[in-house]
Parts: sequence; C-alpha cells; structure tokens
Amino acid sequence: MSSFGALSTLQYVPGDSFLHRVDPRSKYGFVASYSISLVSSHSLTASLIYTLVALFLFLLSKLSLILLWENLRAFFVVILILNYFQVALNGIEAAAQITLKLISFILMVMLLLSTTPPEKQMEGLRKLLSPLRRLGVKTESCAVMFTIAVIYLPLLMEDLMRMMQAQRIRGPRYGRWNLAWRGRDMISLLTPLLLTIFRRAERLSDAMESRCFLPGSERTVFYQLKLDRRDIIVLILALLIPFIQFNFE
Amino acid sequence: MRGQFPKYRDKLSPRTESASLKARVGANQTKTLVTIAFLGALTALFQSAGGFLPGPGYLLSPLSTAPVVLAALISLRSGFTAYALSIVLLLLIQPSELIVFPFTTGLLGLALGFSIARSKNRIQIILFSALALWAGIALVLYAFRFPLLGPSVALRFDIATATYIFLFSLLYSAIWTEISLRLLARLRKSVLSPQIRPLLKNGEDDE
Repeated sequence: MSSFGALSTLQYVPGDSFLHRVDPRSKYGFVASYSISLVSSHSLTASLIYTLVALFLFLLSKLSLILLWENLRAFFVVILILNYFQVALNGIEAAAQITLKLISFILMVMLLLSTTPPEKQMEGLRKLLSPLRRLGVKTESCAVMFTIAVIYLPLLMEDLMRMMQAQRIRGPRYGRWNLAWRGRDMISLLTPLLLTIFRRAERLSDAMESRCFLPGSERTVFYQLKLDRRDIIVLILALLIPFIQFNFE
Repeated sequence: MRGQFPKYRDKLSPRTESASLKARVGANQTKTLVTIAFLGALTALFQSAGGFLPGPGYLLSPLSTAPVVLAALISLRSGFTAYALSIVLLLLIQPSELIVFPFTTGLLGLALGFSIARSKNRIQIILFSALALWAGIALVLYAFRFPLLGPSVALRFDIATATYIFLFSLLYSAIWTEISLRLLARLRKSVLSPQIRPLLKNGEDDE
C-alpha cells in the first residue's frame, strides 16, 4: 500500500468482494448519480445518510481501515480550512454538512478506484464514452490518457518527493521560514521533474508502439465486460438515488 | 552597446523557444498522447500538493501553471486536453481545488502557452495572460461569488478592487512569463537529442 495519502485513493487494492465483482460501468453510473445527489442535497440529515451509505459500501468492499485513514488524513488540513470559513460565514450546521459531503465523496471515489483494476477502468470508460465518437471526440485517446495519468500519478509523486529530499540533503541555506528562497527552491524542482517526465513518456510510448499501439484505432481488450444481474441492481439503485432525494427534500 | 543590452521588448522571440518542444514531442502521436497524460497528471499533482504535503505543498501549488504552458505549446488542443484531464483528476483527488484551478493557475497556463507560441514579444504575452487571469479571478469573485482572495475582498464589483486585481495579475503573469521562457530554454538544451538540435538551430537562425 502506498503512503501517499490522497493519492492512495487512485490505487487498486486486489480483492474478491461484492464491489470488486461489479462491472466498472455500473460503478461509474452509481458514483455519478451519488455525487450529483450529494452535491444537490441541502440538509444535514441527507448528508449524514449519504455518509452512512458510503460507510456501508466501504464495509462491503472489505478494504482495510488503514487505507480509509490514509485517505481522510490527507484531506484533514483542507477540511479544517473549509470548516473555518464555513463556521465564520454560514454557521456550524453548514460546516458539518460540507465536512460530511466531502468525506462521503472521497470515500466513494476511493471505493470506485480501489476496487477496479486499471484495465477494467479504462475499458469501462472507453465503452461509456463511445457514443461521443460520433461527435468527433477521440474517446480511445481520452480513455488511454486518463488511465496513464491515474496509474502514473503516484509514481510522479514519488519522483517529486525524491527530488525534494535530494534538494534537502544538499543543504538548505536559507532557513525554514524564508519563503522567497523556499519558493525559488520549488521552482528549481521544475526542470528535473519535467525532464524525468519527458524521458518517461519517451520510454512508455516506445513500449506502447512496440506492442502495436496505434492512437485512435479500434482496440481489442483483455477483459470482456458483461453486465449481469448484480450490475443491473446497482444501476437501478443509481437511478433511484436522485428520486428518493427529491421526494425527501 | 545596444546589441549587448537589448530593450525588453526586443529580446529573442519566445516563439523560437517553443519550437524545439514541438519538434521533440509533437512529431509522434503516441508520444504526444503520453506526454499530455503525464503533464495533466503533474498539473493535478502540483495543484493538490497543499492537501497531502501541508507546508511545502502550498508553495508547490502555483507551479501547476508550468505543465499546462508546456502542453499548450505542443498545440492549443493539447493544452486544453491537459487542462481538462487535470480538472478530472482534481475532481478525484482534491475536489476543493476545483474552483481555484480552472479559473486561475490553469487558465493562466493556457493563456501563456497560447501567447508564447504566437506572440512576437514579451509585452504581448504578459498583457494577454494578465487579461486571462484577471477575467478568471473576476468570474469567480463576481459571477460565482466565491471568496477566492479571502473574506476581506468584497464580492461586489468595485473599480478600485478590480484595478488592484488587474495589477496583481499583471505582476503575476510577468513573473510566470519569465519562468516559462527560462524553463523552455533549459528544456531545449537538455531535452533535445543531438540529432535534432543542429536542424532546429539552423531553423532558428533563419528566423
């Protein structure tokens, strides 16, 4: 398991739970419907119910509590800042509501990406975006780019941390609180990081081309996605969420 | 003497700085696709750094402009793709940054990339990107009524505040124009393979 806090959301955790077996298209549908309903809800009770639903799904996924803690810990500062502004501007209830909404959303994204292997994520996304091909959108390329970005984000983070540590080892001369020099140090990180990216991109594109990858062309897939009864139930639930919410509110 | 100390607007055309990047990355479709994906990921990583690296992360956040500039230099379409990709990634890893990035750092990156690739001098680049940044901040402040610059800045349109914001945008864009051009010059030295470098050098001399 990675120790990159928020980025560990993006990493697949192998398993054999109910959520691991659900088709990625159904998961995308459910998460989209859940997120829209969550954002449009206006009461504290509704936000609490959404959080409980997310927690129930987390239990269903059989993922470890450490993963949950790592994800939420990464958002701790952001939640604190948001709460400060919310309490000052709109009161405690609004602050509690926004905290619950943020936690529910993070949990849902974590569940989606931690229970779906990258190949299935890409295939699901490709199938969902395929109607856009008629409008001239290169859906194949979009799906490939999204998957590459998701897979390589933790690795880029690793590179960044390594470079920051190397910079620190060479000796910071200007004190911890000298913001101008700290800012200059951060800018000097850009060149090596971008060079690493270009080299990595070159290696990866060569590897992809040597495996006959052609951008924009029709691709065969390793995992054939099939919707079964389980997925239909998930999709029906996804459709029901907004209706239930509108009836309650 | 004049040759040694040229006027600010007479400095080397920024377009020549971006030419090498285009030749290197834009020549191969797969390479372009992978590079844009990486640049999008890096943008999201920088923008969300404040969340998972409290402290130094907040100094890393403004750097998210740089990868968007580079992507926009490959082509405007690539810039938009990297911009959109980083918005999707931010939605997944740091939704709280979704209001800030598309209208400030991301928009500035797009405007800088677009103007560096097309403008003849730095003043045009700075003015264009400052206008884009000012429009982005004004949209968030006055249209969405989101306190982007803190609770002390009024959310009602006011000429004085708008002027201060424009002056800030001008200064910020000037700093970023310099950073981008220096970055491009450094990348041109390091990224280009020995086979391509002489060809491009001739091309630049012709220009």
